[in-house]
Amino acid sequence: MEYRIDSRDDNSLRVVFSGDITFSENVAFRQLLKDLTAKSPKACVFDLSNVNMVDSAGLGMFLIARDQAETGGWRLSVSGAHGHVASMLKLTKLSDLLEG
Amino acid sequence: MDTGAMQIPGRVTEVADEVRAAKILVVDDMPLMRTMIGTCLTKGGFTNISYAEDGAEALERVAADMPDLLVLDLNMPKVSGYEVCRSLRAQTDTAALPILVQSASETPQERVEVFASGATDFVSKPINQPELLARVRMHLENKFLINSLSKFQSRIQAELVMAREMQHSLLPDRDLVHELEKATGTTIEAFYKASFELGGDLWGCWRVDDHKLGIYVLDISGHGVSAALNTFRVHATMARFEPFRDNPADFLTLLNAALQPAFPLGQFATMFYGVLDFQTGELTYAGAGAPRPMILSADGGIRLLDSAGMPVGIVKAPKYENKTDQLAEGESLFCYSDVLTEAPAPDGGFLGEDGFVKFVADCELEGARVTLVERLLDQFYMRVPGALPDDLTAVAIHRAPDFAALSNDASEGRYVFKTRREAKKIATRLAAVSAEPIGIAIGLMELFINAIEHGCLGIGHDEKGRLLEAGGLNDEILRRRKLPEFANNEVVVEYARTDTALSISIRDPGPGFNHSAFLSEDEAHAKKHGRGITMAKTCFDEMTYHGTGNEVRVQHLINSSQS
Repeated sequence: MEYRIDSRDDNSLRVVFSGDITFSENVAFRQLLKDLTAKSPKACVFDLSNVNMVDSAGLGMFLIARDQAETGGWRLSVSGAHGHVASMLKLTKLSDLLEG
Repeated sequence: MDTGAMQIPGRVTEVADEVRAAKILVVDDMPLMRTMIGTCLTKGGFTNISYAEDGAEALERVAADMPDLLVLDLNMPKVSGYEVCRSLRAQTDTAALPILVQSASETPQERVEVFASGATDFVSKPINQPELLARVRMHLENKFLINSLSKFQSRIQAELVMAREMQHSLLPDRDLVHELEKATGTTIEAFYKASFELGGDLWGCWRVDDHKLGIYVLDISGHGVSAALNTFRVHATMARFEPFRDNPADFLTLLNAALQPAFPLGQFATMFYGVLDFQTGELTYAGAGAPRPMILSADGGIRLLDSAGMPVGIVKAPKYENKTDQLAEGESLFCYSDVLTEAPAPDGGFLGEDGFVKFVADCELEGARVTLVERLLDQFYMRVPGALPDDLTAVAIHRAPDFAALSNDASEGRYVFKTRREAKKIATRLAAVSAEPIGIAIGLMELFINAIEHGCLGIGHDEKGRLLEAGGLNDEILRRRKLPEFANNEVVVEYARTDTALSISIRDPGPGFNHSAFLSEDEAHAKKHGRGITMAKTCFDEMTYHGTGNEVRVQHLINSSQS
């Protein structure tokens, strides 16, 4: 998994992911959350257009991110999910929870 | 604590006691050297030192009382240090013994020879006392740390095995499943295989009221010990809601309310729970994000149930809904974990839900309905070799066809067919006039499939295996049937029924095969090839081949007191 954080003018961020978001990416994801918290954005979009696979651990990490957003007072949403990732989010209704 | 002499900055202290008490054997033909080395080691805090004067004595002493480390002179008469090394390395119990060799040689070529003969390390001659001590300590520490780690690993391995067995004990046992099958007129296939690490899958089935059967599958997210521990917690929690088992949505709601506070953030369980009225066929179910279960109709059509829902354990008040469907006689409900849909496809992507549905549909044609999951998994393991990345759960409830309605009073009859779909219908009808429909259907399908694929279409055993691995069997069958040399081939089945026996003959236009090999007691042969034929044999009271092996006759004895 790789990611790039883009800043926007209105104090919102866009995180563009690529690769797979799975159990083995745990450490990288936590680092990302630290980085995001440090930036104190108003809102943040996880762009999943370049992500092919998210496993249950990956979904768990999204849930942790959502929790951090709530604590930190910023809005988290997910965009660009397609194929298997989109099906997963729809099946688990996490797309509703993550404002996908 | 006398650690002053033992401490070297940066070295571990965990194994200090073991190091201090280590047995060191000093081998040198010169008494002066033995004394010097011995004194050096003693000053360094070592207390258990023994000596040997030459290579032969060294080997004897090692054999009599294994030391932890050897300090070995190379140039000795009779048996040299090189020979001692080679000899010790050739034996399993001394193959890893730390051997420090003393060498006066400085040339690279001689150093290479020292290591090639099996020495672990060497100290230069004349002896540099601090260097000798440092190297001895380091090699002893390594040895004891590695031992300690290996023992720890073995112990953990053993504990994981025990934990996995405990998890297995949470699943319904065979007796319970058999009872349910008998009471409900269904055949239940259930397979569970934990992945390499401890898993977080669970499935269960139980009686609900007089006329209902409940079934659930669940998959706890993540891996390892915490997911596994949660399976026990979930299992125990479900027991509290037994009175609510007849209402899937309520059951999930209550389960979620109990588990959500306890699950750590990010952990959840996808789940499906269904209740089947086995008298009317009505199925009521609720989903919490589990992979969509399939309903297979009697003619092989597949539809998916809507199991979408928030997984259990995330939010305080998810809204689960009861949905209804119908599982008619002859139909099957199939639930499975996502390791099957997330399997790699030959083209590099995922099998995906669509790919898996097609896979199931293809398998459905290849044998009796009640062996669907077993056959499906056999093929799945062929296509996805190696360890699975996640737990595998695959459970199917097959509602028996209305055999009474399908049976007839005719004392004899004849069928002719070309396709597997037709074969299935005929197998079911013939099973209906027998006393053991399930077993007869299984046996007949094995023989019918063989008659079609081998007898009518000329697909040999090895070829079939290759096609199954590549996933191209179905396409090849359809292709071949269109070819002129195969297009008119058909299987002819004749049967005769009396009060005491059902006799069936199956004939195909193929060249036959060497059937005696499959019907012998040779298990090894049976395993590799005709497993299906060997299995078929057990379904009938008698099975014989005729002609060139292209005709098989079976007999099923009808015990009049049973029907």
